[in-house]
Amino acid sequence: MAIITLDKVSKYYTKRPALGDTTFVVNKGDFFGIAGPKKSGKSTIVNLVMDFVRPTSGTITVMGQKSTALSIDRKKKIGFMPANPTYCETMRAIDVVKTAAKIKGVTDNEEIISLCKHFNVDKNKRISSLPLSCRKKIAIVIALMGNPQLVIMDNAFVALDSDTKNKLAHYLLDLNKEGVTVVVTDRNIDLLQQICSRIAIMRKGSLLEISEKKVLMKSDTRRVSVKTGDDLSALYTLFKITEITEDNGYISFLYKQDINDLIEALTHYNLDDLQITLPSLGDALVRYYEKKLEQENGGEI
Amino acid sequence: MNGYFSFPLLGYNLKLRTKNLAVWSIVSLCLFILIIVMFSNLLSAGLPEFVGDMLASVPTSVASDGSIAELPDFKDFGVNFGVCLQIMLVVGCVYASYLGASANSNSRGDTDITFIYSLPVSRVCTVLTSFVAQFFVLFFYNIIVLVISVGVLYSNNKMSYLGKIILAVAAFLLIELIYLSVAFLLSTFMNNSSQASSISAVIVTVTVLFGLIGSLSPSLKVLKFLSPYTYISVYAIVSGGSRMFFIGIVAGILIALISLVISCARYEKIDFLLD
Repeated sequence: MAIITLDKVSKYYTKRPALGDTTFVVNKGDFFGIAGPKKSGKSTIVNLVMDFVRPTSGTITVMGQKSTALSIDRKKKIGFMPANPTYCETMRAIDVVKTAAKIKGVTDNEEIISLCKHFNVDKNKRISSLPLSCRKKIAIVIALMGNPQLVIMDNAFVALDSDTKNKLAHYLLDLNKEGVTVVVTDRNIDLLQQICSRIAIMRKGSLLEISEKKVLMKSDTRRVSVKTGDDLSALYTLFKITEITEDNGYISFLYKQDINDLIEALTHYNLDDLQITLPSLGDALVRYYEKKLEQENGGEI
Repeated sequence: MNGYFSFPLLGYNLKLRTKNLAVWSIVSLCLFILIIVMFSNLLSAGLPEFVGDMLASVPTSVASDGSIAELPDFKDFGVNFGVCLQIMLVVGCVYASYLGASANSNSRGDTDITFIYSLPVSRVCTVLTSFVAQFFVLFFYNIIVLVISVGVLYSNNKMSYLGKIILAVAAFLLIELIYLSVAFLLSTFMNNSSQASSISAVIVTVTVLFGLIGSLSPSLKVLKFLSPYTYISVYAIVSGGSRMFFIGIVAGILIALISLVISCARYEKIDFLLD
């Protein structure tokens, strides 16, 4: 059952689209990620779903209702964390949380206290003295209280310390296991890959692809990282490897052919280390562009 | 809680404006004292004689409607204080315009709206609670002006003017409500609060000037209708002149209601500008 549907949605602020013609569905129970660099359209999708901005064309449906006409009851079931949460500067953190709780109709004080404790919210500090990371913790608590059925987090893990990132990731995974639909956006594709079941990859306002984690796991492509002092040019020529990166002394490339052939070829070299792993979603982007370039250049990359 | 109004959201909006109210109240207090002191000094320095000379030199055709034919008796406390309050009204109108201008346009450039609107509230609710919050702030501000005025009465042993002062401050509120409403409506068309504030300041200046010019000559009387500042004469209330101007009251309430309705309709369609 679809919980969020985007049907041929586009958004223009200027001549260049912030979001091009986009269609996808988030099903109930999905842990859906939207990944991409800055200005790729991730936040635009979130803003359209939350009705902060109206689409130039197309329709968006959330929980069976149009996003522009969402009822108050439906909105109570949505927990949202903005990318850059801002609150009344003179209020204390706990007062902001309590105000949000009153508006959401959350009466369980224990839940609020427990969430604040879990995410280490500085309850008695004034908003004006809190950095972005602390304000995001307040936003997390507000988003997660009241048993939401749909949780949407924009730039979910940006500016959070690693402890809070872990806690948030685990909390969202637990919620998802209970049937809550989670939608998160972030620039870090590899992080989303670890927790999301499906990831939409965005670039410059266009949806490039939606990758399923299990499809990725089935892929024949592997990322090979080799640490050696030898020259591997002959290997690259033999297997037609072109995209090579170097990082921390490791030479890394994507390999799609028979892995046994590669291992046999590598036995002729003096290797310090060899790692063969599944490709990350960052690699999926690279593959996408390889394919696109191949098509544009008539078969040659 | 229904979809049109939220008391917790109203409380939040009020807390958002508390600091601003405190600052303006202090500024107004200082201005009020300055105006009273300056006016007293001018009186003792020969202002009545100077104004008398000015009036004598004004052509009869301009002064014919009688509005400036006679020199007020500045020795009368009511006249003195009425003039000061009339000047203070300009300050109040500027503040009301600023409140209205900063109501919505701020939220469009400020991601505070992503907190408010992500909660289970409608767009109409955010507009209505914002307007009511601004009105309450204006109300508290005028209470402070009233308290300062009562302090002036007390220090001059003129507590008999209390009733007139209360009526005058009520007139303040009504006139300021008009400026608040118009600026509030404008703010839904502006991209940022500084744009709306600048335009509001111009509107206050122009309408006050229209009111003054309209009062000087019968041929320019129509300008008074474009000046909410002159719908009710605070000076006349305090100095013992005319009572509250009925049309001014009706106009004030009507303009406020129309502005609010259009603001709600406008707010339903706009994008909240986010970074």
